[in-house]
Amino acid sequence: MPYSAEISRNNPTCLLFLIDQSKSMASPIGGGGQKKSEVVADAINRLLQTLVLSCARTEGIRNYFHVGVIGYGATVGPALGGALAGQTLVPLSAVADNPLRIEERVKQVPDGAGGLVSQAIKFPVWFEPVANGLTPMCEALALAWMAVNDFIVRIPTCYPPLIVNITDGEASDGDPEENAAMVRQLASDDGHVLLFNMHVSSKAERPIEFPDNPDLLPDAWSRMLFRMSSKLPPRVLATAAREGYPVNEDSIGFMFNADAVAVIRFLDIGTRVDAKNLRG
Amino acid sequence: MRPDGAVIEVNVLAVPKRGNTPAECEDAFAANAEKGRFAIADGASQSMFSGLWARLLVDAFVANPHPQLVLFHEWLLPLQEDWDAKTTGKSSSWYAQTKLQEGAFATFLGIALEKPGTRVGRPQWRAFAIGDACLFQVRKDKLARAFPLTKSAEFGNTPWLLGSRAAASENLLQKTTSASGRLRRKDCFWLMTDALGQWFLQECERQNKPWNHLEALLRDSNPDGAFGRWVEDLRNREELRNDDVTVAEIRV
Repeated sequence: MPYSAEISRNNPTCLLFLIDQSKSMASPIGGGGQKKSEVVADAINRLLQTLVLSCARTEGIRNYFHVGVIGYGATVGPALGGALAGQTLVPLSAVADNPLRIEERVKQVPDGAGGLVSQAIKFPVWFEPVANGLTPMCEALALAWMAVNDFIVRIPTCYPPLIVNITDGEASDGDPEENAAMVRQLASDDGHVLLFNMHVSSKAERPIEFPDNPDLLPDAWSRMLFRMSSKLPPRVLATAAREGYPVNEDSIGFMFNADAVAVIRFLDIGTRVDAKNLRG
Repeated sequence: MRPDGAVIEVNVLAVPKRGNTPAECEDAFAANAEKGRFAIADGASQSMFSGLWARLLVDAFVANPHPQLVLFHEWLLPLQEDWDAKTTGKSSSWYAQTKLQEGAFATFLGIALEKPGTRVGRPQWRAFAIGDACLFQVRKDKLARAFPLTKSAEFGNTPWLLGSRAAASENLLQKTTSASGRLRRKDCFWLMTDALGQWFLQECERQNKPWNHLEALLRDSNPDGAFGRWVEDLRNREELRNDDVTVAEIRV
């Protein structure tokens, strides 16, 4: 059965994020004052932190995942900075050990006696918001194809890699549908590579989350993103259902008009891995 | 040796989760046959130093001289301090600091077997549990008692856990279940962590006697090797979840 491989240190999988860094990403996200680029950067940093913490064990970080971020705007290429600069996919332990900086944030936690206390929480930053240039999505997908193809050649038994593309507009360098199809045709022994797409918008409209029917989408562009996206594999489908989304077997890894909350939830649901599927 | 001359026999077997080394096993078991106290704990794999936490819990429980079992305030606080002292400064990375702030977590089950003549009436056993570590009492080749879970369908992904930080210790009494029962010569108590406990109950539901398998493995000339092969075989047939497995036999 596809999409059932256990994820282990010997059989890791990969997560690759494609982030639109075009000029329009500097405008505010729907229903909020924060720039789209900042909301997305914050969500990516939060996701990387969660992923690292979920793979932290007594002896250190277990490399269940190889992770990468590709930015596309004025330039197209790997977007993690510092010691990770220039690398498309890196083992999670390298991510863990090389944030650009660590911010301190304050969180309220239970004090064990029925009250709350403030606790300083470390918030590592790997990825900075950028908004500059056009939207060369086709090129970003081509780069993703190369990186993920390399990964699958090295680890052919892996749980299929997941690519999440986050964008606010149409591709400026051609029709991305063909490159998206090529990416989804890549496969490990456990199934085809997954491509999810998330559209962030400046319009304050209700997000359309995990749709199962393109006819419900408002325009040709959103229907194209729908066609570019993979169906939810069983584990993601189960997570989305648990979280209360009305999903079914035809639901697609796609969100349209995502707001700040939807961005975080989409990334969380798409990448969450149950400990029982991590094999050691 | 018990005061009445009877011997409590204890045998233990453990196998780590497939893909892990024995050192990475986060289960712990401790026995104090003299005091009649036994405990098993299963450290949650998503926390750091949870194997250490499981070890501290079981060792402290079997050494505890207090006749009452559930005394969280006296028993748990010193252990939480001990865990903190043993893990502080172990790593300076942001993620270790974050994980250590959250603390380690473990399921726990402790049992005390009463010595004959301690009080009027027949001897008893008393146990308490947080989470899904299992106790089975087998008498005359029949399952006499299962605690705290009694059906294989009751195992879930989010058992109650004991935390190494005070903040994670809220509502402990609501998470705790206790049990007691009569104790007879030749009773056998089986303590095991959740994956094997689920298999054990499944076998009982199929009208099988899973303790016979476990006894045969314990009597093998190489029990560890035989147990390892047997567990791997069950995992390959998907009859046993891939998890750390610990089982202890306590024969009265």
